[in-house]
Amino acid sequence: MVSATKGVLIECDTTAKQVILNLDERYHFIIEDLDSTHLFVNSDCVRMLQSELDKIIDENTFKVDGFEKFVKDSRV
Amino acid sequence: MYSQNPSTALKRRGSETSDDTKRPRFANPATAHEYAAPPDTEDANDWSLVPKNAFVSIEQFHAMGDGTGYGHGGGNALGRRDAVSYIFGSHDYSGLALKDDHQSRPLWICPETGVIILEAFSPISEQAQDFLTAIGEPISRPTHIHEYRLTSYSLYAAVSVGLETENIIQVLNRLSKSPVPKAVTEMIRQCTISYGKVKLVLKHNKYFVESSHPETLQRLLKDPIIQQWRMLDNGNADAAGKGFNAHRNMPELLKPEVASQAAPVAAAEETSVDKDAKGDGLFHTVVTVDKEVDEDDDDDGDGVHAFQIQAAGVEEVKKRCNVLDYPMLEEYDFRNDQQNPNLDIDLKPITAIRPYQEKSLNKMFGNGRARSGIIVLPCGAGKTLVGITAACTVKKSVLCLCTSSVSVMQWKQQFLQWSNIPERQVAVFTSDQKERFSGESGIVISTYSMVANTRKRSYEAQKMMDFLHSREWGFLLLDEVHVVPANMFRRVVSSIAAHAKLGLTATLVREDEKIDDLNFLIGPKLYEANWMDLSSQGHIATVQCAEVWCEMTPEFYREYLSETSRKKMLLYVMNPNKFQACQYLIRYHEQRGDKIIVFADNVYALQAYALKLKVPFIYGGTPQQERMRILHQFQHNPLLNTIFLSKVGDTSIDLPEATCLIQVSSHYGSRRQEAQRLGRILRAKRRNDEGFNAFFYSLVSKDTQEMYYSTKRQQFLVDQGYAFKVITRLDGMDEYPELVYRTKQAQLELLNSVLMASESDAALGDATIPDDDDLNRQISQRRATGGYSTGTASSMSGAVTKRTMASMKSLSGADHMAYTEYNKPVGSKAGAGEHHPMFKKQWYGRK
Repeated sequence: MVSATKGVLIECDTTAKQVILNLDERYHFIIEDLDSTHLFVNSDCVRMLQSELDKIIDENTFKVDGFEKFVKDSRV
Repeated sequence: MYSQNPSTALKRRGSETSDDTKRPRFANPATAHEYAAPPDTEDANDWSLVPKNAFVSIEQFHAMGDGTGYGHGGGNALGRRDAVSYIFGSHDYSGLALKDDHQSRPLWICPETGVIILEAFSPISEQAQDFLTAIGEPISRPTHIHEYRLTSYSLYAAVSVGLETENIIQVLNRLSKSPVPKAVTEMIRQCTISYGKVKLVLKHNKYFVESSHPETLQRLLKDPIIQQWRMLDNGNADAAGKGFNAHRNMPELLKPEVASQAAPVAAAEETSVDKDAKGDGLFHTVVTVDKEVDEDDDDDGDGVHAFQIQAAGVEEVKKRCNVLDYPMLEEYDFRNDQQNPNLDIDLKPITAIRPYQEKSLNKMFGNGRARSGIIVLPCGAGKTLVGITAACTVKKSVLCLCTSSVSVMQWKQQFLQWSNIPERQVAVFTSDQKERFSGESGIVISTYSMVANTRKRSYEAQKMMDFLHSREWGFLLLDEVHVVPANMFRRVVSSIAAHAKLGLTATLVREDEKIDDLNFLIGPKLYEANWMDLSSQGHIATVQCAEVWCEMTPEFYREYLSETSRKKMLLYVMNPNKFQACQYLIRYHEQRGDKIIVFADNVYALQAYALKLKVPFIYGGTPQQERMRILHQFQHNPLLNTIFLSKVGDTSIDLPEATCLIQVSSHYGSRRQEAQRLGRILRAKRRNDEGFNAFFYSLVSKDTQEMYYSTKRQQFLVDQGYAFKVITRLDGMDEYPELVYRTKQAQLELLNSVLMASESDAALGDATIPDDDDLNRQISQRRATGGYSTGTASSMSGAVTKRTMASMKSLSGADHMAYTEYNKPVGSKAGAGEHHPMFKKQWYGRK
């Protein structure tokens, strides 16, 4: 029987792909691993994927003290 | 000790005692005096060395004033809202009134944070800078806009170099584009009101508490503890145990020293004494201010008053003064010190002092006396010479402390090079050498750990320590003060009797906030040079800084994501793309004729890189002779243009030939290390060549923790005005034929060997030698990991790890095993224990 799954094509750099693969071990959303920069994933997971990626990338970013607060304040 | 009633903690100017007990400065005690809990509670007693005002910050002053904290501009600083106001939120300062001629004034003062922003392009910015470095701490000083911050420490320093409260406010107001915010003036007032009013002066070998404000002295004299230690003018010790009553009938001595000033001062005194009389009759006659004995003393013209205290009580009185909120400035009148023998030392006539060095020394010897404090100069800008010149000015016995035995030898050599001191008067005290100088005065150079060591010592070392403790030192010179933890300093400072202390450093930053303690253990920061100015004047080299981003290869990154934090670090350091970038940069700069130093903290990586690229390397385990040989070759052999150094090269190795620096791995987010490493090329020999640039590359693996650390590390240099270029691609790298790890196969092999490397190889350190450089390394390392979310604190806490050669034997744990044969042949029993008497004769006879 044929089953249809809605998917999204993701293009990313090689390291981001590794992060996604790593996440896939937990959530299993990759439908097809196309090549080193392309992935086809389940569309339901895209939002989660975005936020997780942001979080991981943010971890490696240094923020100057007070700047974050400033940004937050200015959004108010 | 800290839970003080705010009414006694805060003194009003003029300090009318009867008044201030009734009326605290602030209506709200909660905001009035909150200090941060002392970070270091293990030794609470020593905290009395730090005045309470040290923890004052500008936030405390917002509660007062008119409620908005702005205190001017008609009180509607935030009232005027326009189309863009919402973007700035509460940081909208457009309501601040500008002065009419604001264009010609260079300063902006942020009413909220007290940050002062200077337009460095303004025509009067040079004067403004001088003023701001005196009263504030530079936060960042790039080319066009400088930022300064007022802190209680910096204001303390300002007072100590002779600025007055009202002058500071006045000048600030003159330079500022808008009126100085009330919170800022209040802060200046409070911080300067009590600081620097009282000086502890050593003169003719008697300690005097000196002040140009008689009221202050009267206050202090009322304190029972200070009274105990006071000496009366006729020289009799005012023995402890006598109460107030004993003083009641003492004659009042009011003889201001400078005749022309006599009248107004005396008048001032009388009025204040009168006030006291009304306030509290009992104290009336106790308040005697001895005249200053010294007529020929020609410093500051206004009447200076002093009373003498006993030498034994100096520490006690100092602590008491801090508690009373009148921290004492220490000054040493070395010219009038006749008890300590003079040291015949002078700069050699060929020695030239650079203008900024002179400026820094001026701050120290401003009024003909020596002040204690810290001078901050970039690496390679001649800190040593500043220290030596200061020693030549004081001309008393000098104790010089530095961080390692290598720098001990360097200091000795510099002393001999720049000054005319004979070698027999320069003594070295390290673990291998324990000398004493000949004659009654001289110089001793030692390390912090030698002097602060509390463990049992060898007989010789103990004798040397007794010698150090037994005598008075005219001058205590502290090199690289930033590396020494505060408690060690306390031990040194308190155990050595030194009259003046000078701390030298390039980077007054630490990842743990222990810098602040130094201000009160040594003294305020007297001078801080502007790196950019020095480099534009050619005193230090101009450096192009660049951060090279190397992509992680997918294989490495996959492993990176699943490894523990320590292995992670090894993976991002050993990234093949980084290898290639490093190789390419080395080749590129060798072709330009540069001499290159490559830094790698991690010894495993250091060896892997150096062996792969066939370049000699030096790390902690390299024998001294080999080190010398490699360094000599590097300096003189035109064929050897690159060396690899582990962090042993951070500070102690001086290579003026080097013009290019590549950093492969580094100590987490240590700003200091970054600056110290940059310092290796700041003194480049060729710096004065036309258009010469030194290069500083930092290789960073993309998308890893290294990015975080790298940015953090750069903060100090960025604040000094250095700009880091980001290079994402090195052009021409791919065409380079000899590039290593070009094939996937080779990369995978490398990955394999990295994964095979034992956990201890991944450790940062060069643990084979004790780390001389940062005596507090373990703490900062732990902090570094703690600051990063994925770091596992437990795996890092055993920071000093033994590194062994990764031979099969050691990896299998067979290091301490001796070869044993289990199937022993018959009769071999004798070999193990006592020989049979029959063998004895033959066996021992042979020996």
